[in-house]
Amino acid sequence: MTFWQSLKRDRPGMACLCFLVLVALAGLLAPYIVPYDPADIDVRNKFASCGWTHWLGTDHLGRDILSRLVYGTRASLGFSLLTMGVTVSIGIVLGMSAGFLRGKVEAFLMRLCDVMMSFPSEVMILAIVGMLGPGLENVVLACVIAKWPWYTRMIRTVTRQYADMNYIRFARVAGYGTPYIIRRHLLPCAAGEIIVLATLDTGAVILMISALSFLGLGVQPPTPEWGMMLGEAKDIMILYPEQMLPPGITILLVVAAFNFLGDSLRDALDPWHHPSREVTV
Amino acid sequence: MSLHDADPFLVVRHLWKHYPERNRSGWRTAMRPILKDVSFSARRGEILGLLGESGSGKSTLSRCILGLEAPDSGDVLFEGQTVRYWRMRHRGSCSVVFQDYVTSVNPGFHIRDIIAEGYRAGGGEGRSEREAVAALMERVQLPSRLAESLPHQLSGGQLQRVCIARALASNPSFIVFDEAVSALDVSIQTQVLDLLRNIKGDMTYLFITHDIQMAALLCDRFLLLRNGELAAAVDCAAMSASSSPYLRELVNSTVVFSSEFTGTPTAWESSA
Repeated sequence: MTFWQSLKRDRPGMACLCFLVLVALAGLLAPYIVPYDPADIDVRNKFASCGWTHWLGTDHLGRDILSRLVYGTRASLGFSLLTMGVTVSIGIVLGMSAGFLRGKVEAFLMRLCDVMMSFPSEVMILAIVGMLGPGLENVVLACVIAKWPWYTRMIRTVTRQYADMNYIRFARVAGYGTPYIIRRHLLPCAAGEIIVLATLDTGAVILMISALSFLGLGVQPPTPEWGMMLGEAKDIMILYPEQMLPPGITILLVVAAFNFLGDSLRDALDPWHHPSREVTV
Repeated sequence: MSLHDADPFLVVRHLWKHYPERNRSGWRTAMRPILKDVSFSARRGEILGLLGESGSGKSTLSRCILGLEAPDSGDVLFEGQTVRYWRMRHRGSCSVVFQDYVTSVNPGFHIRDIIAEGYRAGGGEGRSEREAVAALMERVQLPSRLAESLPHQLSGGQLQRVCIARALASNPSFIVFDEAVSALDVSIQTQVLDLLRNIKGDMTYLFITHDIQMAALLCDRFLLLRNGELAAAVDCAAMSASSSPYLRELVNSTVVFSSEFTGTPTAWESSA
């Protein structure tokens, strides 16, 4: 398909994709590749500098920073992908219902979205986590609650836009049912816009999980997580400022990679953006 | 409208359709009637034309007949059954070709898949899908090398042929042509009209157009729709015998070339 070809031609996009796949693989295979247990405390060896035994040094409890970073991928990347997966699923179901059924269903769902979207999402997430108590599950739940209206609204707009296309009318006249039309026509059309927005938002969710963990509301110790590592490092910032670098740079790189990948996908999935429009007439 | 036919294929009875009218602030102020008590019937195998200017309700009527929109009151009956029931019972028996060929095909599909979608709607029995698509493409005079192309690589005339092939693929008994040739240029229009005549077989056509010459060329009979009402039903063989003032007005407004130039005078000219 032309999508792969145009994505392959986009070198920065491919580089970001490869980088993210590597990071995800590292997180998945963490027990097999890290040299130390991320929760192993060795206080006599705290604040060790970079070297052959500890590549990125150790933190204030003598834990290996590299091992913690790799394990932290599970919480940061894994849970942000989970959040996006749940959010997009809710968005597809509700958005397509609204766009297809119209009438009262659409009016109700859209007014509900309007109400939810009128809260600033960061404040709402803080409030929900504050109510439910700290913990990664609550952070995920809060992010889903804050984000589903955006996806529902976007997917409903895409659905409405395509539902009036003549090829969907034809499928209907020819006797195909709604499930077929959604699977074969609507989802592939909407996929482009959903993937782009979801990719860009994954970066934002990583930041949100890290920020809440930094504030002590997300992941609870001793589970490693990038934002929490940054939070622990800030307490000793004056004496050991280099402790903030590994988690900070990791967050920066991963979020930037998601943002660049989102832009590349937007170009690759745009049907009118083919670099060469060859004609076979 | 006469319902004289003993066993009509399609019966439209007292169809009413309103759309809400909104004022500038978006409030509903009134319901504007688009179709006003439209009734007619079509025989099996007939080419029935539906002629009217823009805004006369042609497309709304076609959507009601195809079951894409529900009328406010009245019935659309195929062989005595309501359209949605009939469409469900006879999958693929109903087909449509639209004016706008660009939005008629999914831009991400290959031509083969576009035609195959219609073929599968009809059950897709007999030959393999590949052979069936090749046969259909030959039937609408499309070169077979286009099967693997994407829609944006085809010209307008070719794309409209793809739509016609797809409409034929399910082996339908009824096809609606909603301004199917209006967007094509004149030389292609006549080619497509010839094609439609050649492939007709025992299918019933509903041919919607705003062009009286097109209607007179192809149809057995056509209905004149004006402001949502049926103004007249005209038999093409006896067009000059019609007493409808609207028909006369329409015919007079067409551009007539001198008979020396065209070589063949139209039916109306020869009788006038």
